[in-house]
Formats: sequence, C-alpha cells, structure tokens
Amino acid sequence: MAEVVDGMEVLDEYRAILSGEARRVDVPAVESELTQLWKAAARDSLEGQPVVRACVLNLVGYAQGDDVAQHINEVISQVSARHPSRSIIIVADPGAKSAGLRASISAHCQIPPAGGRQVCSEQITLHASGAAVDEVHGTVLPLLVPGLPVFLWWHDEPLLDNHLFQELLDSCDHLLIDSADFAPERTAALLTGLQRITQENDITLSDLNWSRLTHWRELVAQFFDASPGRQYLDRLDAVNVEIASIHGKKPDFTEGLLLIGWLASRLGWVLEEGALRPRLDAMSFKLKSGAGPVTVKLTPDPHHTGEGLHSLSLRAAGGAIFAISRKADDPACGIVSAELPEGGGYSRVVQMDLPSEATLLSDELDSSGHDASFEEALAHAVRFMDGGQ
Amino acid sequence: MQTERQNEMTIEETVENPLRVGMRSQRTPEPNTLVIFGASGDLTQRKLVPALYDLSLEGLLPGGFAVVGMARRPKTNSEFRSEMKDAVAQHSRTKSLQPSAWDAFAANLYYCQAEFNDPGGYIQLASMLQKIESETGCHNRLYYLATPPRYYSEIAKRLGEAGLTRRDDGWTRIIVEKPFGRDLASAAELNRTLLSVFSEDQVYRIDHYLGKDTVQNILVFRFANGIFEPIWNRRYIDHVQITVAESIGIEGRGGYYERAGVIRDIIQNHALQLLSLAAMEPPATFEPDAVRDEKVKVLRAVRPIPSEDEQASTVRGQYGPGVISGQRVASYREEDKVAAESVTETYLALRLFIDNWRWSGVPFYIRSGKRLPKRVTEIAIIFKQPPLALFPTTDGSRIEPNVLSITIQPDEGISLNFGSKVPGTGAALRIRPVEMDFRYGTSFGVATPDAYERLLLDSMLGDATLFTRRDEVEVAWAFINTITESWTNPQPPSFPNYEAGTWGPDEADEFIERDGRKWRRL
Repeated sequence: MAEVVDGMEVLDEYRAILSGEARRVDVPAVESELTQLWKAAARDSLEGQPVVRACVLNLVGYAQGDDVAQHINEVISQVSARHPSRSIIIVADPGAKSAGLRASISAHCQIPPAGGRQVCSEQITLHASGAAVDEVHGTVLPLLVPGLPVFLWWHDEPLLDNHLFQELLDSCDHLLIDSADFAPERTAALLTGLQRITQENDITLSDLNWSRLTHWRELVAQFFDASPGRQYLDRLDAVNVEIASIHGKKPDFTEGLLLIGWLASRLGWVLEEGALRPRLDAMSFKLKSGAGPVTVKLTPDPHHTGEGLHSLSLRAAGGAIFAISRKADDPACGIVSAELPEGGGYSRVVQMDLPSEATLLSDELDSSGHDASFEEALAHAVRFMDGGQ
Repeated sequence: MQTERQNEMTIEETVENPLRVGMRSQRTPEPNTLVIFGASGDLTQRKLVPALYDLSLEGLLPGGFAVVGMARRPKTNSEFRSEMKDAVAQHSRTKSLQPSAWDAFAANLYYCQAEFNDPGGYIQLASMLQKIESETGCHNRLYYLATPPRYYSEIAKRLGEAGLTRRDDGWTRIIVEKPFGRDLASAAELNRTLLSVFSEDQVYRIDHYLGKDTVQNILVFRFANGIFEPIWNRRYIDHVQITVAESIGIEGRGGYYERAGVIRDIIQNHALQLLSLAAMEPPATFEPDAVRDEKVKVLRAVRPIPSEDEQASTVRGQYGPGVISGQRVASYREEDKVAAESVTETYLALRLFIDNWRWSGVPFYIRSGKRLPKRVTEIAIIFKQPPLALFPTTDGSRIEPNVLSITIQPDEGISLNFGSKVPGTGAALRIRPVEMDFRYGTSFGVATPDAYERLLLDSMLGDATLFTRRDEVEVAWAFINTITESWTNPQPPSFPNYEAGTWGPDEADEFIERDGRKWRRL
C-alpha cells in the first residue's frame, strides 16, 4: 500500500479496511501501515468522505483459536462506538509445532448517534503459534498508544504462571476477566490468585460477572434508600437466590455469591458456619449480622433455563420481604416488590435486559480505577466458595 | 408557612444507605406523586410523560410513584392512559414500547378533570391524592406547572387555599416552566405569589437548557481541568461570543411569540444561563446554593444598557421571507396570529460587559434568532493575539486568533483552533488555522439523556443545582428590562430587516465590525 499512496488503488484498499476488511501486513510494518491508512483517510475526508480516527484507550485481547478471536472481534466492534480504542487481538495457538507470527490491520467504523463524521477505531490482530506465543508481548508493547490506559481482556481462564500472561500484566492498568467462563471447581482458586496478583502489581481487576450484577445491585439498594424500607436493612435475616440453570449442566453460583458477598461486605455480615450442602447443585450457609443470624440459600431453578440470576428475595425480621424476579413470560422485564408489615408495599415492573458481553465490557471500560465494592465483595465470595476455609 | 427543611424531616432522619457506597447513582427518589397541571398539553405529551416512562424503564423511579394529570378537558383515567401510551410510543427515547413495562407504569397514571380556577377541582385533587397515598404509604408531592403562564399564580394560590402545599409527613415541591414572567415586575409578582404559599426551597424554576449534559459539561470543562482556568480571564481573552441560532420559525406559537420576542424567549433565560456558566467564578462546593450564588454574582455584575447606549449595544431584527434548506418559508408577519405590522424582534444581537475583576473590559457578544441558516448553540472564547507578530504572512494578513468553542447543540463538543505551519520547504512561512476537536458523539458514542429526565429526577431528589433561584430570575429580568425599556422609543427598526435563511440583519455585522471584530462563521 505504501508504494502507491497517490493512486486510486490505495483509496480503494483503505476504504475496504474501513468497511471492515482485514489486511495482512508485515509485522514490523504494522505502525507505518496504520499511518498510511489514516493519511489516506484524511485525503479522502477532504474529498467528501469525512472520517475521523479516535482512540481513548488500548485494549489488548487474548484468544485461543480463531472462533474465540472472531467473537472478540465482534464484541470490540460493538464497543468501539463508545470506546474508540487501539485494539490488539492476540490469537494464540500455543500447541502448534512451528513458531510463527503474522499480523493484520482492520478498522471498526461507526456513525455517531448524533450523526456527523464517521468515527473509526483501529485494530491489530496478531496470530501467534508455537513458541512465538510466549514472545508475542515483545510485539504488543511497542504497538501500545502511549499515554492511554491499557486494558488486558483475557478471554479464557488465565493461567496464573503463564509467561505471556505475566508479561502482559506488567504493561497493563486493568485486567478484564469473566468468571462465568471459569470451570466451577477452579473458580475460587483462580479468583484468589487473580486478586493477589493484581494487588501486588497495582492493577485493577474487573470481572464481567460483577458487571452483570450492576442492575441487580441498583434495584436492591433502591429498597433501602428511604423509609420505610431503610429500617429493615439492618434486620435482614434470610437471603434466597435462584439461579437460572441448564438441565444437565452444573450450576454456576459465582454471580450469586458475588451478590451475597456484596451484601455481606456492605452490611458487615461475617461467615458463621460454612456449610456446603451435600448436594452439589445447591448452596446454603449462615452469616451473622449485628442483629442476628442471616440464612443464605442459593438454588438453581430448573424452571428457568438460561444464564444468570433469576430471582432474589430478602426477608427481614418482622416479616418484610423485598423481592426481585425476572418475569417468566418476559425475561427482559422483572418484577420488583416490597411487602411491609405496616402496609405501603408495592410492586412494579422494570426493564431487566440480560446485558450482552459488549455491554458488560463497555461498562468495565468506563471505569478508571479500583472498584473497592467489587474487591470487598470478591473477598467474601471467595470465602463462601471455600466454605469458610 | 412550613419550610422544605421541615417537610424533609423524613430525609434528614434517614440513615445513609450503606449499599450505595461505590455505586454510580447515589440514591433514588422517595416514593412520590407527581401532579401535572396542563396534562392535555404538548409539553406533557412530548416531553414529561415520555421522560417519566424512560426513567421508569431504567428503574430510576421509586416504587410507589404515581402521576396525576390535571386539565380542563373531560376524560377518564383509561382515556388519559391511552393518550399517554400514544405519546410515549411516539416520543420515548427508547425505541419501542415494552408492553409489560407500560402496563405497570400506566397503572399508576390518573386523571383529574378541573378548571384551574375552580376550588372544587382542588378538593377533588386532594381526595385523589389521599386515595393514592393511602395505597402507596407515601406523602411526597411534586406539582408541575405545564400550563400557559397565565395560570401559574392561580394554580399556586388555589393549591395554598386547598391546603395542598402544607405537609407534615413528607415533602411538597413545585416546578414552574419558563417563561417565568415577561418582565421584572411580573416575575417579581409571580415570585411573591409562589412564595406566599411555598418556601423558596420548594420552588423549582426549570430551564431545560440546564438539564443538557453539554451545558453541565461547561462547569466540568472549566473546573475539572487545570489548564483552562488560569487563562480564563481578561488578560488572555479578547471577547466571548454566545450564539443561540434556530432555523425553525415560531411553529404556530404566534400568540405567544408576539408578546415574548427573542429577548424573552431565549435571551433572558437560555442565553443568560450560558453566559453565567461561562463567566462565573469557581463555586466553593458543588452544592446547589454555592453554584447558584456564583451565577447570580455574574448576572449582578452585568453592566446595564442605558437607553442612550441602546443603538451601540443591541441590534434587533425580524425575518422576512426566504429559503431554508431548499424550502421557501414565509416572513414572520405572515405567520398565524402575528400582526401584519408587528415590531416583535425575532433576532437580537447584543454586546454586554461584566464589571468584575475577571472580565472587566471584555465584551460578550450574544446573538440569537429564528429562521437563521441552521440550528446551533455555542459559546466561543476568542483569545488575544500574541503580543508580537513574529511570523510575517506572505499576504499581509493577520494570524487568526485562538478560539475555544463549546458547542451545546446539535453536534456537542469542544474544539480549539490554533495556527500551524503549512508543510513545505518554500522560503515563505505559511501559517494556517487548524482545529483540535473533541466531539461527544466521537469520544463517548452515546446519545445524551433527555434534559427533562435529568431535571425531573433532580427535582424528586431535592437537588436544585440545575434550577433557577428567585434572585437569579429577577437579576436577569432587571438587566433585560434596561434593554426593553429603551425599545419603547418612537423609532423602531424597519422590519423585516433580514431574509429567512441568513445570519440576521446586515446591521448586526456592522455592529460587531465597529469594534474591530466579526461574528464567527458557524
């Protein structure tokens, strides 16, 4: 492309890139090829095709295999409107016999909601195989845009002692994971390890599973913003969480445990008796609040298949009940209700869309620092997973 | 009269919610009932109820929230809900109506038919509120005056007479739409009436411009960034231009516009709000009264325009026929309910000075008009030239000054112009202005929420930061009065004096050029 900058051929090539096509380039020439791309875009803008390159962060994605890489590519495309970035996707094939590294560049372009110029983000995809996987950080680091935050999105269970993982951690400010993707039997160990590593390296740890709880937490907090609900917050004595489940699949309690962990950390509940039920498909344990014992139950609900939480109910001494439940006939909506012994309860319907991965990622990219609420909730959740050990 | 502070005992007694620590929104409003006076009107259908529905959909309204629409036309609850459903389907920010969410929202919509001057209507309203509150257990009330302004005083008085402003077990607030009066005397009179039945902290005077994200961003831009404040003063700034341009005409509101003109419709409120935000000192805290104190100080420091200076400080215009976006449009005088010889101004340019330490000697040019070439609102800060012309230009022209422009609408953003060397190896050094551009849509890629959503929520939360205080309104009117009084002279301008689709009368260009400056080309 660089040799024929003035030709129509170049314009056609870069227009193809801006419309989503990936162009293979030499690894050492990635930066210069991107420069040529934006120069051509600037010339085209003068001719009536207004394009602007925008970049507010670096997003490094790690994927094993082309399918996962394609998925990451689609998610980044969706978040690029809100978070224009330089994204670098590492597509790793560590099991390949021969070492190899190839690169391609592409762009994600959007017309902003208010109209106007097309806004484009650039993407670099690095395919690393065999021994080259362990060394790909050496290619990634010089490609990071200086002065902008670096988010590392590890789209898999991280291997804590993996060389590449550790090298990339050294250069990032935020680590994004999704504990919903972890095998349940490894979740506690992984989250404990990640919490330790990120604290040691002063990196912000973000879990998309925590982001899934944002709307739930907001609705729970609303119950207790004002009287008469507020008086019951310190007298909660039972929490029941139902988790949508898929028949034949082991239920994932992580999201529910993070929610309980959040309540426990905010309300000063401590684990009194760690007791995983003998059945592996449900959990229950007792916590202790300032007012007395709090019974916690997490159960899968076989009637509601799918992902995430299905319902939450909080009971307080005196008989007040606060409940949130997805509607059976319309899971995008939920019923929020309060029953109070003195009267004045209510029930209302609110929107409760299951957030897409792009929405979750976008929410996490909004954050600029440590989320103490998450870190405290996570510390409690890990203790619950360990049964108090 | 009971004060808002007394009314809000329940809030003060409420212990902070520990679950809110670290969350983006700090609280939701307490359960309350919103009474909209003028429920059959355009504002209710296009803005208020769609905004409430969108808030409800996002779970930002409390459980135990209800709406009572009050208007003169007879209709049942069911008919009112059906009308509002159509309005929401058409005007909601969300793309499609969600049936179950709508049903839940609509179940708490009620209608009260009454004449605004009929005491019986307020007894009926009280009875409805009592019934709703017995079910929800809450006693907080928010009144919204979405009627023509001539009913504001009447409604406030009747509410007082019916005992609907005195609450012992919850808060009561009232939102008053603009225009708030038509001059200083009428605004002061309206304030007196409102404050005879409400306390100042119960009154929320709304200017929807202040609910726009980009208007709020003026304060963030100025006071959250360390690099701008040191140069935000007379030492570095040559002048400031504030433009509020509309391409639309009066949209069938001839009766209103004939009495208002652009000075009351835009300048007294939107334009002076932008001026005060751009020129205010940093507040001690981001508390409602601290922010409003600083805004009021700016308005108090605006130098009045005496009648002898009127010609030098203002230019009035009225549009004639013309073409906008390829469409031929009629003159103002041909609009419905407009007098054939109307002397109402549809354009106004003015120059004012703020006599304080920061701005002494810096002119602020404000222009606003109907039927201008495009819709744009911006504040432009034009900086002084460097003290020495170090780089001679080949054609003898001056290097353009640095301009910082804050665009409020439609393409919200901030841009900075500065001079840059044109690449080349020729002997002559060529300098061209280039633009460093920040666009909301580009950096955040999201549509900003509707201003009414923000303002309705704030009023339910008791946060008056984005509402106008009594003294603010009256100081603004006092300044406007000095201009309008000078217009009563026997020689009004020869109207129409600008063609629709142009940037106003030629006199407006001559007016600023006399000062050696020119309007920004937008």
